[in-house]
Amino acid sequence: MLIDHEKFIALLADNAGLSVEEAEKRLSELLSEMADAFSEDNAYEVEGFGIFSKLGQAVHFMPSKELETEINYKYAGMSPIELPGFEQGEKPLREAEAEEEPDSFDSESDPDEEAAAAPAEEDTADDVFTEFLQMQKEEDAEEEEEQAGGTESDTPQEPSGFDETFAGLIDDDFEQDEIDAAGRGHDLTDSGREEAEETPMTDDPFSIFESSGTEDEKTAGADAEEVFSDSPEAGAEENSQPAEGDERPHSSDEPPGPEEWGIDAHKEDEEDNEAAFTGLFSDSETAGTEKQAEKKGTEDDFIPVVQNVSAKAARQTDTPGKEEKPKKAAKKDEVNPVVSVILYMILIILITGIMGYVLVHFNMIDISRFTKSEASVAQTVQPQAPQTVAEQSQQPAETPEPVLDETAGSNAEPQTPGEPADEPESAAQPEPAAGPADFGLTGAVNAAANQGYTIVLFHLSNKNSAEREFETLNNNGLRALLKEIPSAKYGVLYRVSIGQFRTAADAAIAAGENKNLITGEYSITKIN
Amino acid sequence: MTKEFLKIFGITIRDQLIMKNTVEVKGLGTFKTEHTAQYQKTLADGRVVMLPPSDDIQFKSQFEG
Repeated sequence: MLIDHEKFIALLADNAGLSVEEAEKRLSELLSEMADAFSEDNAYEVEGFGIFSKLGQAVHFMPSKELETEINYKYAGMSPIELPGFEQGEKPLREAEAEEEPDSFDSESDPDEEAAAAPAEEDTADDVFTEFLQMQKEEDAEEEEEQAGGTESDTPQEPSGFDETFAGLIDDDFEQDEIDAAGRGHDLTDSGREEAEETPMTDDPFSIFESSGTEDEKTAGADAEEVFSDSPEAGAEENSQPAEGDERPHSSDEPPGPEEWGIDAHKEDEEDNEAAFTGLFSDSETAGTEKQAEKKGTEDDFIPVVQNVSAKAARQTDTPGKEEKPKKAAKKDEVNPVVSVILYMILIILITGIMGYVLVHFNMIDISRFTKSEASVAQTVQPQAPQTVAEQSQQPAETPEPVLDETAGSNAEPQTPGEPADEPESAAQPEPAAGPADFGLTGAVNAAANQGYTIVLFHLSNKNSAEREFETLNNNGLRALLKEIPSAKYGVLYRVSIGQFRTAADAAIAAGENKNLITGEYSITKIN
Repeated sequence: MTKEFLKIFGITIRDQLIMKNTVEVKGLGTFKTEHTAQYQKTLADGRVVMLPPSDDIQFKSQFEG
């Protein structure tokens, strides 16, 4: 769309927040400034836009990097891609084929120059045509195998736009009548044969690769040879191949071999590989190729095929630039599901762990198997004490329960067996029973069971409070224990615990079963 | 001529060029973008590269200064 001067002024005024007249005035000032700069042989730069300079009579504009970047933002990130497969010296299919729009400013391009440049592409066109024919041949072979046993079509096919399609690729010297002859190809009428001056086409596409015994074929082959072959001897080689005429050279089960195609590409001892393909360059062959081309569709299909030759060659070898992009996309696709799976697994593990912790914390599940660890932790939490405390006279069975040692100094004193209990035991505390160890949560305290574990409820620094709790537990029928524990931090602590259990697991089980009795936090520790 | 006006001047033309429009500034010239399709090119060392497409800015002077 053309934005003329008036529209431009309107846009400028709108963007600048000015009136149209004001914008027009400012623009004229800008132009006058430019003229002043040009008169002094200076360039005029518009920051972020470009530089205007005057050379001779014309004003040139050089866009700035920022402007170029913004204009080409769609192609940002694209970089030149090296095409492998082209050895040094080989020419690419197309060089610098930029589109030309009809109303381009650079209208100095001379069509004659372009036409003159066309012959220079002869070698390129030959290579393209060679590869194209080879591809067609391969596709024909595949189709023939698939259609094996099918009826032959006797209907003549109209020539496609063969000449127009490959006009650019074919040498200008290639005469028009030869093109017509190749295009007519399958015209089996007598007039058509006379005009074509070549072997009448058959329905067997592979017959074109065979040099026939007729003179017409030889002539046609020779004509084509002049145009496409590099060595004049190649045509002779082709013609020397045995011909099978119009009949199919092979059974439907067996594809024609290279020997029958009149090419020597399969022979490794050929020094000149280019000559091996000259057998392909006969008029009958081109007509057959055209037939195949007709099957392909419209004229537009040829161009992509030609282009794809280079792409195919590029795909045969690793193309780092092009393959990286789909590989990267594939990797991204591969990574995303893997990452999502891993994230889901982590989430599930976290939820499971949190639920387990909540259940254990609120005693919803039995943790008896883990009580040993808890007991060991509880023991470490116990203030120093038990080791410094009297090797208490926890002699089984005979000694009285030295639950509480009144004198502070006596902490280190072991109570000897037989000593009367000096501790001010509460009246409610039953005397430790002698005899075999009797474990349990209730009942009388059994001195023999003091080698086991107990459920610790309180660690109190106030002796009176500890005794009060001790009495309360005893009144409730529990086997309460009150023990003085020296502490470096608190001085002396009074441990109030209940029960005597053989193992920490038993203590934990008992604690779990008696949640109504044990409120709040508790710990399990060895009694001594 | 203020810098701000110059900036707006450049932005106005740039926006139209991005939209593939041709901008005519009377007394200065006509700005236009021309698309160059991707193409192959042989470097001096024989390597063949595929150059990406690009849009080039073309300017046709109508300067009356």
